[in-house]
Amino acid sequence: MSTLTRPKTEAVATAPGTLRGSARVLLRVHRKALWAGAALLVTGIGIVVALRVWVASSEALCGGGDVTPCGDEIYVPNYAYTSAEGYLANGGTVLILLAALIGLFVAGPLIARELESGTFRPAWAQSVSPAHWLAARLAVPAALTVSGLTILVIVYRWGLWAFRSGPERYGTRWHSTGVFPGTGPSVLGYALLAVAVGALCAVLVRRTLLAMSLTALVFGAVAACLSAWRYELWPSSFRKSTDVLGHAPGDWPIDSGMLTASGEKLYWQDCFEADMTQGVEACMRDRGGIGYFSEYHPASHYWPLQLVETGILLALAALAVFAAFRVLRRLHG
Amino acid sequence: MTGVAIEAHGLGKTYGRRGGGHRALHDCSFRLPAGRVCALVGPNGAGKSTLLNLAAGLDRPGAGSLAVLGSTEPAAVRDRIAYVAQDKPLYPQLTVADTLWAGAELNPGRWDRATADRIAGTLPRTARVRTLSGGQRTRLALALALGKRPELMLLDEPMADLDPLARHELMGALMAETAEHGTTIVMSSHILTELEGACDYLLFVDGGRVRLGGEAEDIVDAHALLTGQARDLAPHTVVESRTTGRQLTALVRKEGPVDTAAWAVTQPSLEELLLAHLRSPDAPPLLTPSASAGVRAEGVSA
Repeated sequence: MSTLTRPKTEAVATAPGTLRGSARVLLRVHRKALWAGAALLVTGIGIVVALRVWVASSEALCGGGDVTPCGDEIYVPNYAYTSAEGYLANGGTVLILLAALIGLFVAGPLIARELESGTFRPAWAQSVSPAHWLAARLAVPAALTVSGLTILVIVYRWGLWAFRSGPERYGTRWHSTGVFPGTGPSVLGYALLAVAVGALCAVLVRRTLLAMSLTALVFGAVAACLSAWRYELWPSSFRKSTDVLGHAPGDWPIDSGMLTASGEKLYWQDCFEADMTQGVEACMRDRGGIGYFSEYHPASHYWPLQLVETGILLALAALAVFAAFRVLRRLHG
Repeated sequence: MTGVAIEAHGLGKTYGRRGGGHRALHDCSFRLPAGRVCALVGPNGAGKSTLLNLAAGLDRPGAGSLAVLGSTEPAAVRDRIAYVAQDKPLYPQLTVADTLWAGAELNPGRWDRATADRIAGTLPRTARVRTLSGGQRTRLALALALGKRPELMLLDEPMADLDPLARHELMGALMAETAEHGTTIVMSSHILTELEGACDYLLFVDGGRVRLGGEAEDIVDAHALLTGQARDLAPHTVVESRTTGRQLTALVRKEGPVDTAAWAVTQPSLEELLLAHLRSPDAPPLLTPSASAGVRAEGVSA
């Protein structure tokens, strides 16, 4: 019975081979999504380029161009300038939404749909282990997303550069919620987290729609929390004075108030809420305030804030990836 | 080479929640020698698909152990196993050519393009998988399975959605491709006639365990259909008996020579045998020596 012409076991070297094979098959299966992703990338670049061209080619309203006041203190930007700034003020949010979109794609079409429809079986019954199968579904979107978003971050920063010499404008300040995540590495952290959470939700619930909804929920919650408490990610600077404090351009004001003789901090907020009949200043003086203070992030805190946020996101992503592999191993070995 | 394709000891698998779950396999022990073409038969829900899933390394057993091609971890030898699931899942958006290409990509160093192409035969290479008929899908799935030159093929209801002609043709192709390599094949079905003739080995699964296992011939030979006047059937083990007036018809498992003077003895067909066992869930299991798992299993199942 055993005069069998069994194939030689070349299986020793198949490990990296099957991973590459899985990745190539994955790209072929999801060719359309790949094209859609490329289209989004080109659209993103196109929008920023178009805005800059628009701003550069639009006629200035007064002599020195629209980045200088018209001979007095009043700043009069033209329509192109205001609109472009308005759009770019949300660039960071758009990039986070793109990251979320990739997470949804990983959770749904890439993993959960295969588990739901059974197409994982032929893959695993070929020479691809479940771990390799999942690894390909993490590595390919992660690599593509990181490259794509890196390009978009660079383009976005170049887009914001157009407004560098203008007076400080609310929308495109470095710390603004719609800008900050899109100008540095943190959006890459968001993308990797989205991919990882998508994979984890998919192997956990194994239902396309459910996995996608769950991913959106988890990713949205993390993004909302980081956005709300971003200022806590790095110790803020502190400044005090006997006069009312203004902010330097580029500062991110966090909170301010008055100091008592003993150095205790009284926040304006407390007096706004406490008593409406007298002036806030008087209220603070009543409570013992003698000098002014403010807490803020100077522009130099940009990188520490970016890196801490990225670090948190990467740590969460690593945790989710680890959990996803654990779940898959427990179920399928 | 151990000469054993699959060996199970006290195999168990429960789906769903602990306690309230569905016991698909329970204390299932058997052995399948290498090189056989085995029919895995049993009623719907008997545990056939579960068994194939476990043997293919797609799921983990809940209890017991399962050795496939000499490895106690079926997943570790997945490159030597081919498995075709019941619904033949394939990527619907790929073309036939892409699917075969994917087979080559996923089996580096093992892929036999000529065999895959031969089995795929006349399938239109540029057609998308979603446009294929049931029979064409089966053909493509078999091409994918055979292209990796497996030592063990696990086919879950492979011929279920084929018309008789296509079934005959594909079965022929399958046998021709595997005969020269001595590939072990396990084919499941709840319709025995689909497999009879092609298979020389039988595993009859019912209620989550193997009730009959061994060479199809030996199993048939071990039984006899007795007809005669109602009387004691000892020492034979009665699988099923029916009395009409004073006339008794019994399917027995022979435990010694049959008294041919008292009984009219005929040999039951395999199908009669299986039906009798299905109607008599209490009949003791029969595993021929080649199908009995090692000593440990006997200890477990005793």
